[in-house]
Amino acid sequence: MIRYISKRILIMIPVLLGISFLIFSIMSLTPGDPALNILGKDATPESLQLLREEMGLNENFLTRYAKYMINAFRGNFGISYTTKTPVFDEVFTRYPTTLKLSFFSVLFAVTLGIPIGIVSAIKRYSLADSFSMTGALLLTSIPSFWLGLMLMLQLSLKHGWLPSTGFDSWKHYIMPCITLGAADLAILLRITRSNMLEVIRQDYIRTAKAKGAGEVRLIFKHAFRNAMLPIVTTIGLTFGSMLSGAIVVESVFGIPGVGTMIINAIRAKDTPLVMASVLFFTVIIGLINLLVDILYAFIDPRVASRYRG
Amino acid sequence: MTANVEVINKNKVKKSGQLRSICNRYKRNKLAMTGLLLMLLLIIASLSAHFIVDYDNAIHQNMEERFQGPRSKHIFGTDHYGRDIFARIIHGAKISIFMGLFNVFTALAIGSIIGSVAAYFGGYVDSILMRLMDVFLAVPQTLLAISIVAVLGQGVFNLMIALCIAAIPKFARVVRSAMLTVREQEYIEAAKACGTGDIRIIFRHVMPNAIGPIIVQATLDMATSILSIASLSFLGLGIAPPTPEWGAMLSEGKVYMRDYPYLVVFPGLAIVITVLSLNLIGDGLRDALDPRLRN
Repeated sequence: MIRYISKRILIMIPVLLGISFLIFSIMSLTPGDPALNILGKDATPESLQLLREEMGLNENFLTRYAKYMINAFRGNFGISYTTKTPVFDEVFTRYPTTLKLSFFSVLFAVTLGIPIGIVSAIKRYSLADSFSMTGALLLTSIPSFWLGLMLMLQLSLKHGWLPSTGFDSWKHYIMPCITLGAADLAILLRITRSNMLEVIRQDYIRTAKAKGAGEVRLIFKHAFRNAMLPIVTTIGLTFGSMLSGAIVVESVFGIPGVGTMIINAIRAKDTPLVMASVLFFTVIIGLINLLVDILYAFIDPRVASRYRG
Repeated sequence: MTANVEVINKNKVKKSGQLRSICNRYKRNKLAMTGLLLMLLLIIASLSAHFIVDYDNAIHQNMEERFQGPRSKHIFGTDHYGRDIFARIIHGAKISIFMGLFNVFTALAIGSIIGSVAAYFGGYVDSILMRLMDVFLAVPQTLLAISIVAVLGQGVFNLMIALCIAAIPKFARVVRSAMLTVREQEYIEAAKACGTGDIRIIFRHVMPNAIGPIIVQATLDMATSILSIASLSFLGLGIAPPTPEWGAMLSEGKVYMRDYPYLVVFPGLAIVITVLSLNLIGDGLRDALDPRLRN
């Protein structure tokens, strides 16, 4: 198991190197001068030249990339061009907000999506089933920013029940989490339903039924445990899409997370900040995928035995 | 001319009973047919946008008529510049649908080449290409598109490049896995044993059997790319005003939505209907192509 985990972490390194190289080249090989962005249009050529020298912008591309990566391994991600503070601090003060937003959105999607999916599968072709499947179809087709605007219009502007922007009290969490979690709720619902339907057909369910297992026991002990693997995978993937969906949702509700920071940083061509945020995103998504794979072993003994072998 | 087409169609259908049964299965699916009908209506509306309502109404500012609520003269009302929202939505459809189509076709073409090369050669070529695709896939699609647009600058063309690059890896993977699955099937072995040439095997046996999941992916990806175009424009990184674009309309209307909610209701509905009909078509196609998957 430990060997497997360390192998997976090692595989992440080339992926991270690839991504950092990709973003670094996109950000550096395109027109636009960070020194000019910092000093403004009135800067003298001499001061521009001095700043370029200081920032190491005059060196060739590969040297700059290598230097960046060596520093990054030491935990130094450079200084933000716009705020003049260390990027590491900047990213870390904003990350908790985005992670909280994503976590509660996943929680919202899971606590509603899985039970509704199970009910849908058990009561297949019932009114409840068609209702939830139609709902799921609609939710996957609604763009998150529009859902956010509609919720804001109804719940805060019209009735004043919830605050429309900011991220302080629990009330601020409700609309953004529904907005961000809605599409994934629909995906989880569909996956749960189709996997439960698949499992219910199996022989061992019939055997368990014949041996007199009660309905609740049948569903949770026999059926759901076997349907869980793809559901857990989906939850893992969901987290990845949440983090990028957060960019849009944060901008709708004015939440000071990494999403709004990335947009601002990209507009200001603040390369260090963009690099660090995207790298952190990737690391977190990679770690979540790893966590999901490890979880498999706990859910499915067959997977656990493969890790040991 | 029509007669000719009919004859060709008849021959095609007769030859491949599979195609006919797929069509029949699709036709029986009411939701999928609704999706197809909606999509056709949208395509017709966007193609004839200029005949339905003048483009001038969509971009020409008319301050005397600003914030007119929905009524007979302007059925969806007018915005803060007095532009007709119905006209902007109809002309916006043209942009969303054709950009979506273009994006899917380009990404599909490039993705297919990468995927088939990887599947055909295997070994090192496969590993290198697929690891490269993994690198792109590790960055969330929206984030990748945003970074590319931010660097290239705003504009229709740059947006298309960004969305295309972000969509290629998915197609490369789908094409590769479809090719690999089909390659291992017994009927390919049988065809080889009968002495069928490579090209005939690829076009006559591999392609028709591998194309199902690719078409489904393409339909669903068109929905995704229409959503992405709207999202990026909403964030101010996509299509710049005054060009009528649904996401940009929402972003502009957001400021005034407290007093004039219709500003954000109609463009949003347009996105929902377009994406919904594509999702219905995609799901319907998947069920029709492989009835075993249907639950």
